[in-house]
Amino acid sequence: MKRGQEEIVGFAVIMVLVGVVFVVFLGIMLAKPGNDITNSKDINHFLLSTLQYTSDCAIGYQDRPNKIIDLIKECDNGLGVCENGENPCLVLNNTLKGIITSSFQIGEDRPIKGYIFDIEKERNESLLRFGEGNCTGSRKGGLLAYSGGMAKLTLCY
Amino acid sequence: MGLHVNYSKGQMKIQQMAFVLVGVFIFFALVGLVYVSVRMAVLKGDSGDLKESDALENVRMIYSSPEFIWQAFDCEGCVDLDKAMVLKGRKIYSNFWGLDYLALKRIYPQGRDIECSEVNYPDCSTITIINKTTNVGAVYGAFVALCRWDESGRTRCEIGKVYSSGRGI
Repeated sequence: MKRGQEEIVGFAVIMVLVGVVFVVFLGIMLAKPGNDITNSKDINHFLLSTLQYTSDCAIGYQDRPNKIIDLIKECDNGLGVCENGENPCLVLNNTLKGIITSSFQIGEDRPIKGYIFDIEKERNESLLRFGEGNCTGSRKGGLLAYSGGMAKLTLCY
Repeated sequence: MGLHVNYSKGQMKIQQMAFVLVGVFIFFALVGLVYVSVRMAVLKGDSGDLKESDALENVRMIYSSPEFIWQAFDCEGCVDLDKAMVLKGRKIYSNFWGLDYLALKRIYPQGRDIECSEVNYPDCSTITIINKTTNVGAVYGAFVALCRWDESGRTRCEIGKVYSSGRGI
């Protein structure tokens, strides 16, 4: 091998070494944000409070308006109708949307870019799922289990 | 007059190798520096989250005390708004929790954004229980259900936040 060729091979080895280190470094940097959802106590407190919220829907023999947690069960049963004739699932959907948008400032020009709210029944079957905005960045979430299912909220930053 | 030094080929090779080694060392040092700075930023964020989580836990302990807790039915995270309204006028509680600021604010449904008094309660949004200074520092807020008895004697729970600040947090 000529001297010039040796130098080119040496240079190539160094470039490959530097390239490998750079790729590994990039991999470590970019692997963190992604599907990771950080658990947030604030969101857990929010869900705990939300399930206790008194809705405007009173059903049948109950002369008092239902709490959100009762409304979820009514929506799941699919039998009752609110005293004012509204569908419990619709009231549940609208009330939850109102609570979330009033509690968190969500928008393109705000730190929270979007959210996903999910109510799952047992066996991971979804009862209600809605969201808003862009959910591509880092995420914080919370979940609250109750008898018969769980409520999940994910905020996207 | 310049000083002319004749390097042999071997010396040139050693010099080249030394330059390459220094270059590689600087490169790895820079990569290391960037990595450490990123890790430090992440650690700083994590420590901020831990601090906030700790503060939230302290706020939760305050609103879970008998002075605030809703006892009509078993409810974790429910605050008795009527009790809070009574506490608003009690100066004896101003040093009880070691706080500079303690307030409850209704978030949903959104109503008139005014301080509660005996005259306008419950048609108001904020109950300030402790407010010792205008410069209260970092204020932490935790979501709660604000429960009360309505005009027809039924329970009504709304969404609110307990805000607090001070050495007790």
